Amino acid sequence: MNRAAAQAPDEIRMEAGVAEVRQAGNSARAAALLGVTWRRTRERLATTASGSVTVARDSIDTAQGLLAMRYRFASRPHWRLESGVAGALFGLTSLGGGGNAAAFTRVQHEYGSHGVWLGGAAGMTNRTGTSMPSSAYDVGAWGEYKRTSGTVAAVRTQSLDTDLLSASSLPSRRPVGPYIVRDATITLQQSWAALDVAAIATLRSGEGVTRLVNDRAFMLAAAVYLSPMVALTVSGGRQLADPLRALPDATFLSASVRVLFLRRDPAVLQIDRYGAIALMRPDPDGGATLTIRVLANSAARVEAYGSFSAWQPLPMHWVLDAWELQVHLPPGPQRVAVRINGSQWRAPANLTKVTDEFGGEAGLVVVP
Amino acid sequence: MTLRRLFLITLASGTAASAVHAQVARLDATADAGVRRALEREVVFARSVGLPEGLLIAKANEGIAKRATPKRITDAVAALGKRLQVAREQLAPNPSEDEIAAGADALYVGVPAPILKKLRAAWPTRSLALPLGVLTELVAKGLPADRAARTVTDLMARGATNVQLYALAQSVQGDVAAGWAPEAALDLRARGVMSLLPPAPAASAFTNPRRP
Repeated sequence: MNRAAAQAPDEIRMEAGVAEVRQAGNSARAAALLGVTWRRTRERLATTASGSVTVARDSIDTAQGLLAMRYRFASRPHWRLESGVAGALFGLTSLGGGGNAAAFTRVQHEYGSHGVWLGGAAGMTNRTGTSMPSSAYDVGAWGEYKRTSGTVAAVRTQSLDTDLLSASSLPSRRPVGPYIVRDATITLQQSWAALDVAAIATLRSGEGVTRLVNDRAFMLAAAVYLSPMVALTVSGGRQLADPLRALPDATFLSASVRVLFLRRDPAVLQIDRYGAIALMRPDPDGGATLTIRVLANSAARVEAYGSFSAWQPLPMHWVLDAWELQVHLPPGPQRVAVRINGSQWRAPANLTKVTDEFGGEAGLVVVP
Repeated sequence: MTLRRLFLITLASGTAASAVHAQVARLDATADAGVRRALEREVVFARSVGLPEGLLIAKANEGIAKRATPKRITDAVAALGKRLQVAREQLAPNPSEDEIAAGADALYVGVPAPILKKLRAAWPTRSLALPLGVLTELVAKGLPADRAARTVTDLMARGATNVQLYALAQSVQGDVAAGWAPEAALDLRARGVMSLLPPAPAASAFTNPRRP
């Protein structure tokens, strides 16, 4: 597994699209979106960097950047530490230009297909020369069952960014001094063969800072995969003001194209289909250990099968940033295939492809 | 025929039938009745000629797992039975089950049957399971079977080890993935392995040296 993780390819995801955005109390505006995400996975450390630009000629005008790292402890494999920094520059018609920086840390404990987390974050927003700090902590849990996954989270945010609230959340009165909002968020995601749908619901309470004592928001997003590398996405709904990231309250509807690029790693040479690779390490006692890794972040279920499992599908498990399975193979020719979300069985890209008498395909592995 | 002899024959055929039923019991419980009957026939035949019948059951289970039609499964099992038989004949005199299985695999990807005999001639006593696997991989990668077989056989005749043959296949696979033509990659990598080997003690089974 270590060797496989060390050889996992880098991933670049680009997304471009258009949106209609309407801030609370303002008229709707058209917006253009462009985002790039880079992800690299090594033995225990996963690094993500992303940048995005939104052009809407109002408070949503922003250029954002994020650098996040997730570390898995060698001695405690169920624990992960996730930390990162984020920054944004924005041009606000209603509030004036400014910038925002935030840092966060989160500790996760994983139990197979579910887990819990506890995290904290601090941020500073500077708008027209005035610095306004914010802080937050959150607790949450995630889980998945077959093709359905979900999270529940509770977040408490304290902020002095009263301008953000007064400009976009229609408060019953302009807050004076720090204010506190408490959010409860539920996310549900369901995957089919080439379709992912996600729903996010948030309930917010904040005495005196919103028009209603209790506020709520709902977002819906869908991605249709034209191929494992290209997806069309649509999303819409309402985003509540986020003082930590200086995001204003707005409703939006967007459509975009998402393209995934995988860097051709010299150790792997050829990666196309699903980004599925199979790496073999001969065992000193005979045979070999085969590690199969599949880069399919949005997949709900990834399986592998082959002559080693008498062609019975074996579930692959999410390890760091990829689906993974390790099996021991006896000497001789063996066949291996993977599939995502119950779709067609495919040969890992770096293996010699052979077709069988039943119309399927598999990768050929010769174990010394 | 004495009663004692008749009893022994009955006992023997009963034992054989039980063994066949025990083998076929490994077939997936969801198997079609027609598949089960056809498999029993194939297993009886395989057993009678000394072929590894477990591979036939594995092939039937593979078809069931892949939700193939009963006809496709029985056809695939029958075809595998034939390949196993051809492989055993070509790899004579005493091929192991692994060699027969690897030979059948090679035949499946398009290696002509006589080539198996030439590989046996190159290594009369050593196991051919890995060389056959390497040959299968090279041919599946797009190399002409005779060209790949000539290279593998030459290397075997020159005393290449299993590890060297395996490394050859891996290198060719990497080169092809990097955009090399399969034949150019094989030539280059074979020369690399050859340079590490002592001179050939005799012509390989593929060469026909003519002296003036």
